[in-house]
Amino acid sequence: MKISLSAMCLSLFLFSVPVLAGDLVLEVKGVRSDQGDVLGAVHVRTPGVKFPSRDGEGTVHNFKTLAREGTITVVFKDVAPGDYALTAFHDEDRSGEINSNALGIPTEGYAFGNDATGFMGPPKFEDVAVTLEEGAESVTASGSLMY
Amino acid sequence: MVMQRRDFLKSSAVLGLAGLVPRFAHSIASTDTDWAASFAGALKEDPRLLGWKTPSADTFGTEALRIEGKWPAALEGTFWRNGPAVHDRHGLRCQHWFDGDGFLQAFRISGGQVNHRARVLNTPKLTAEDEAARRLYSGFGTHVPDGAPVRKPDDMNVANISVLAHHGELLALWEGGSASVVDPESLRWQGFKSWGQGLEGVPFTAHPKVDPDGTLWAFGYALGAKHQLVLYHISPKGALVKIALVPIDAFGMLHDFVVTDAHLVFMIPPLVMEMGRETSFIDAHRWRPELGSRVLVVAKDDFEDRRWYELPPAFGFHHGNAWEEADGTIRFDQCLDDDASLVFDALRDVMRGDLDGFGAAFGRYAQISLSPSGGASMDMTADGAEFPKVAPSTVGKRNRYVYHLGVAGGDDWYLRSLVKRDLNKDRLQAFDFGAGKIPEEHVFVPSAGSNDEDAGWLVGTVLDYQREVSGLNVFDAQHIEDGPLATAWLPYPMPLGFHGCFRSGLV
Ligand SMILES: [Fe+2]
Repeated sequence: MKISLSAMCLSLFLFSVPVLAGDLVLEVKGVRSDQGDVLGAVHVRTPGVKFPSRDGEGTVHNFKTLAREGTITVVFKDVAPGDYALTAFHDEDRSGEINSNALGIPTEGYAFGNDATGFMGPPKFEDVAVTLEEGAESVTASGSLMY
Repeated sequence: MVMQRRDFLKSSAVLGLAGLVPRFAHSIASTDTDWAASFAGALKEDPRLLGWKTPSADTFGTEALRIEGKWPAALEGTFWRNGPAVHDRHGLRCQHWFDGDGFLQAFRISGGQVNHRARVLNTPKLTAEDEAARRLYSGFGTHVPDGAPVRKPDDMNVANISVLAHHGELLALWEGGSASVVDPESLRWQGFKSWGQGLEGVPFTAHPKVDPDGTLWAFGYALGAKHQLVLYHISPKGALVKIALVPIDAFGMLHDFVVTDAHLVFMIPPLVMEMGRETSFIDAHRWRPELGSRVLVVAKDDFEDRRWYELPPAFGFHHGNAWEEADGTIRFDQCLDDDASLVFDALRDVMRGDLDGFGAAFGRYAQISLSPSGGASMDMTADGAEFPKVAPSTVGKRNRYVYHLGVAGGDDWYLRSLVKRDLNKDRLQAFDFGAGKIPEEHVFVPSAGSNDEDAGWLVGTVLDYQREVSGLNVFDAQHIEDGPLATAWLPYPMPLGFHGCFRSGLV
């Protein structure tokens, strides 16, 4: 029993983490000031969830960091291969959420991965996402804040 | 920086609201035609086109203009004007009159002397394009190939339609997005006007209405996943009193409205924004006469109190005034045409130097009445008319006089005369500027010491395209047929624009 338990642990270790995972590098460019925070999320394709979700469904990673003028880079280590879509915004007033006007149009800077744009709505997941291939060391998802 | 996964942050959720702004790309007007060359060629043959030529500089200033006639000593203040001017920049000529970047003019009138200053408005849109040394943004009817993405309407705000001085603040007005705050001394763009938290970037009309007590009423049309009409009630001191969002089906362009003492009145033409077609703003619209025109009446004291009327299809830009009879009947006027060919064709063709059909596309003076029982009727005259104005003291109340530009001398290529319409006697007085001159909107400025509705002046600009100069006219509003009392002549021509306002002080 003792041996087989160790063997099982070893096999889990071997098959679950190091071989297939890589780094997901997130770049948020165009931060205009040191004021407030930059918040972001990494979305995955999720059946039944419209991208980008309004309630956080379909996100696998989130980050919050002090705003610094220029580019902010965030790295998530040991991420499984797959398609990842970056969204971010500059929370200048530290309200914890993106401010929008009465029509729902954001009034704080926001970014989509690949600087994707939509027509009469948000861009499609496919246009925003980057792919972390199996065996790849890393992939970079990058988007510029637009104010 | 390396971070670990965190609990869910609200950030990702709210981004679902992002990007609800149309991205205008392809336009049917976009062809291989070189609009600038076409216009330049036509200008050599037709001097009237001087009115659509880009000014030779971004700033102008002249002290002590040469005055022809006798300027009335009692008329002192500032006359402001706005309009599209930067039709050509970075090698691209605009393909619609509405697309040129805004150009603010100030005529300062004091001691019988008139000074002039003008400046192209340095909006974020124009600044970004100048930094990139190329056009980045498509517009109302212009296609810019490989332009920058439009994330919000103000990205393409050209602040080029009108100008409002309210409670000491000078605002350059557009209609697709925010009003712009302008420094009245330097004429520099200072920032987008927000009327309150959450109202940043919400569209604000180029035609707000000011009650005689200074209360400001305005609207915005917001087209998107759902079309909405934004209603604003702003105090005489410039504070937002209330706002409402009204969903409107089959909505499109709405340029002007009118107010009575008690109601806001919106004439909604069947010019409908059709979603899903990726094109320029105007080309995303379709004329759908089968829908007819609809009139929305909203109570000033309760934006939830709304009623609708139906009328035959018609399209127009500008109203003069509205009022209510004792029995509740609402009467208002508008310069109307049977369809929207003016905005689709004539206002575009002029940019490549084609004035055929330009004058014929303008609307006629029409009066509309809405009965309390729900009936509506429209009485269209045969009189070509545009840029109607009334005395500010009559806004929302029964007015006897309307002043507008009209067609004269059988020459209907453009509005060539200044008309005073007496609604009591159904009588017109007019001054024909004659061939060689193009008058623009003239506003009524009351004079002190009389309560007569027409005691005052009409102040407005004129382009003398033969002498290649522009001027500022002042008429005695009681005797407009005598022609201007005086004209202050600039030493240069100014491009034809849209709307102005007069203030007895600086703003
Ligand atoms: Fe207008």
